[in-house]
Amino acid sequence: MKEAVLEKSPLEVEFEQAAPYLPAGEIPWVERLRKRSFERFTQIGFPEEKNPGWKFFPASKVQETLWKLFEFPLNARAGDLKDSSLFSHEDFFSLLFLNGHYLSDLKSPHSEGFIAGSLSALLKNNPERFENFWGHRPVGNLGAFEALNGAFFQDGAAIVLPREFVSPKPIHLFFFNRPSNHASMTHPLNLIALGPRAKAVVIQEYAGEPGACLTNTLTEIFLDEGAQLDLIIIEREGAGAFHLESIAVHQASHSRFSASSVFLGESSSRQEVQVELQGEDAECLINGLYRSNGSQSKNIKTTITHSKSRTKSIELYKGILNGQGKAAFEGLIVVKPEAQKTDASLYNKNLILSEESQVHTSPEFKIEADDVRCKHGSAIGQMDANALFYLKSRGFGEKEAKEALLYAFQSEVVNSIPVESVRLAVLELLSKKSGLERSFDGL
Amino acid sequence: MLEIKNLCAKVGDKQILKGINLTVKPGEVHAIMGPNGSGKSTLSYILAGRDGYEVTDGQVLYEGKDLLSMPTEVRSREGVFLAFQYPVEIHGVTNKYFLKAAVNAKLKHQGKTEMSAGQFLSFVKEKAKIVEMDEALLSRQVNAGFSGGEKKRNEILQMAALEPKLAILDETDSGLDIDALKIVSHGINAMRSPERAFVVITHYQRLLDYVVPDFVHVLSGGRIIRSGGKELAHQLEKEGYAEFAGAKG
Repeated sequence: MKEAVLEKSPLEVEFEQAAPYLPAGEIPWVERLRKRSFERFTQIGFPEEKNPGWKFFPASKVQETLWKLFEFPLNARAGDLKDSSLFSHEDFFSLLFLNGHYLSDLKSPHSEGFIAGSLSALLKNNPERFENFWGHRPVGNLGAFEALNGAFFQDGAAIVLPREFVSPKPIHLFFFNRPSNHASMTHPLNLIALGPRAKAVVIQEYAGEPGACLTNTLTEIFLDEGAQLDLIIIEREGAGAFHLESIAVHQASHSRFSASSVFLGESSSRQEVQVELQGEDAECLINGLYRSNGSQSKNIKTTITHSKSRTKSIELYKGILNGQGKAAFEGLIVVKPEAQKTDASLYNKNLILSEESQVHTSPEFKIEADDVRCKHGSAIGQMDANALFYLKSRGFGEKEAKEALLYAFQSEVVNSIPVESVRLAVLELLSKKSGLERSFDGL
Repeated sequence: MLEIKNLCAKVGDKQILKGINLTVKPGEVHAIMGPNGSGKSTLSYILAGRDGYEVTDGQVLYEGKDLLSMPTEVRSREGVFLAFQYPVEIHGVTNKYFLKAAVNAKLKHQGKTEMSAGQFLSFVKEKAKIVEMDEALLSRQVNAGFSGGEKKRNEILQMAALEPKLAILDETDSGLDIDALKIVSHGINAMRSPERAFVVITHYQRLLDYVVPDFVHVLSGGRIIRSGGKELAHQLEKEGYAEFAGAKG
């Protein structure tokens, strides 16, 4: 008689096979974190499209795919990725990851007085430093993909700036995927920790060749008192990719966080942002732009929690939907009872260019304090017929007029990118995507 | 230059224009006056090529060509200009870019060399002086946050930059205080020339004290019920539209 065997899920098999080889597995707290994270995932399983925050994201397609971790790209060198990025690596401190693995032959800026390097290498050399951040992390509130990241992470960037240190150049994290003939996944885990009054600009660029791959990244950010971080996220992964990113921000008093995200990939993407304004006078500015063409879907979920008084948040996401593109935005602002004098604004605006595209928007406030200033709104609309007529009456052709209005719609978010070279590169990318003339920023 | 023959048009089921006839020659300034709802703005929009109007009868010739069959942007490039009653705000596009693209679209259409950014900048700065416009407004987004007067001045600046052959001014005086009215009128007068014609649409006579027309037409109920010289405007102002339309219409 055969024994009844519970069938293991493909991911469970992959985890069991991969676990002994995953980085820092010899460190007890890391091993524990991986195990508990995977247990959490097994317990909750993949989300469904009908779950809050997952509308239009094809999670079932991710579930159906037999994912294997990307293997280490032997013989790959950082120089190979030189032309794949939007940026010249001389302008920034660049950390390059191919298929989630760090390519180490570029000069790492350790000697400059701060840390920016491969997480797995740093973890190996100095596990205690990171135990504070992750060693005691409760897994009970992790979402499915965050839990998968905790179980499978291989590498990512660790950026640690000491007190009052100002990074002399932006730090550029470039994640490039080169999918093979089987579906491959990568789970980058990033840590950005800024000491009191430290200052940095971090650019996360995600790109890849077409093919079945899954990028499931988690970025955990700790901003000490008065620290300032500008985060720029550019997602332009290839067709067939699933891109999920989760950003968790913990802000102490007087710290300032800005995020400018642009989702322009051929992929189905999801971004989840959680900001905790834990100290008085902390503020965050969250801007995003997503474009969805063809059959892609973009899903944004943000939660900003105001826990202390005089905290401020300004949030704006803009979407452009074309073809059969779909997008969902769910934004939540929570104002705790002790967060008096909170100043919060939350807006989502969508431009619909085709009849088949779909968009869902839901900005929401939960306010438990009484002395607050909160405003929110959402809009779904077509191109303004008055503006189109105005432009045409001044000689703009139909195409030029539409492109000018498209540019105008996007510019509010693009202009929030605080580094000029990045802003121009994004404009260039946008113009390529739409056939838009570059002359718009010429004046 | 412009010949409107028995122009009839409707919006939805509503017949707005019921047979307009008007001939405008180069160098002339025609004022079209009339009460609210008489069809003044409809006429200007149809001439400029706005969607949503159905021409049911008649014809409009511009320099001998069928104006109504030209796309909106081609009318502009051919020298027809409409100064809007309510200029549109375009957030995210600078006034300078907007003007440069407009001017270059016209130059390209005429087979001329387009202006470079530098050439355009000195060109537009000269034009801005005509309407006493602060150069800072050139770098601002099109009409965004402009006062009523600034918006109207911006319309005249666009006219000055585009140098049209036929300018239609739709209620350009509305919402202007007396100082702004003088500046705007000065801008219009500075553009008067033997080659250029104006159709000035207005509800009130006061603009016509500054921009003195050669002809005044009274539009009422979708028809021109009376035409005359500049003295007609004064008569109209004195008697009021209701009485005028009742007695003479």
